[in-house]
Amino acid sequence: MGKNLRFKTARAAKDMSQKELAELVSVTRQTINAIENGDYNPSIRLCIAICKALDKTLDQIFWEDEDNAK
Amino acid sequence: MPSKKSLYFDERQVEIRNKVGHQCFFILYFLLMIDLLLADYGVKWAASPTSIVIVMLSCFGYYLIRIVWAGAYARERENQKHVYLMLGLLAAITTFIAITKKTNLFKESLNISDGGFLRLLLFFFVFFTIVVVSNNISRRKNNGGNE
Repeated sequence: MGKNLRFKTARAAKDMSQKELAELVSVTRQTINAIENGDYNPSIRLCIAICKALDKTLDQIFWEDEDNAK
Repeated sequence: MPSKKSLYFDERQVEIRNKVGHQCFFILYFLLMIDLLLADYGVKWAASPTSIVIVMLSCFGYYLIRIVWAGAYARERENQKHVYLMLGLLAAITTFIAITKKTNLFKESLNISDGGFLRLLLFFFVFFTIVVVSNNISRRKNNGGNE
């Protein structure tokens, strides 16, 4: 699983730190870090919570295509 | 939605704890079996209860290190005041008992300065210290830094 750069970009666009986002979706900072680095595959519940927090859709952050899969 | 704040481990932590716990269970099982078989073949590396305790402590140590390393030991927001209070209380009682034993205070009238009791207190103190230190390392790994 490659790095999720779209997730990182969306978070940075909202000017949020990993810790702030983690608190918003009730997980640890390491979990957010692991998702961004592609080390952890989040559940659909967590994906939805993250998308809501970042005002994005699931497609925009978590859908993998050739451009995003690195 | 994700679990209620401050009460639960998050999903990644639960996954890691389950995975490592599962590994430890099988490691413990196989080490105990090996210990048993070695005894059958005449290899005696430690007396029976001691060898089992060593095997169990090794597995516990492995589990602790793995989950602390992965930041899956401590919950996200946990009020630790009561833990520190408990640790302080244990430290105070252990110190008091150690001093009374060393100075032979109350030796005639009070049996509290018994060596076994002191060892028990020391064990609890060391145990709680390990718990608190592990908690702090895990929390620091969780929340230290932003990126």
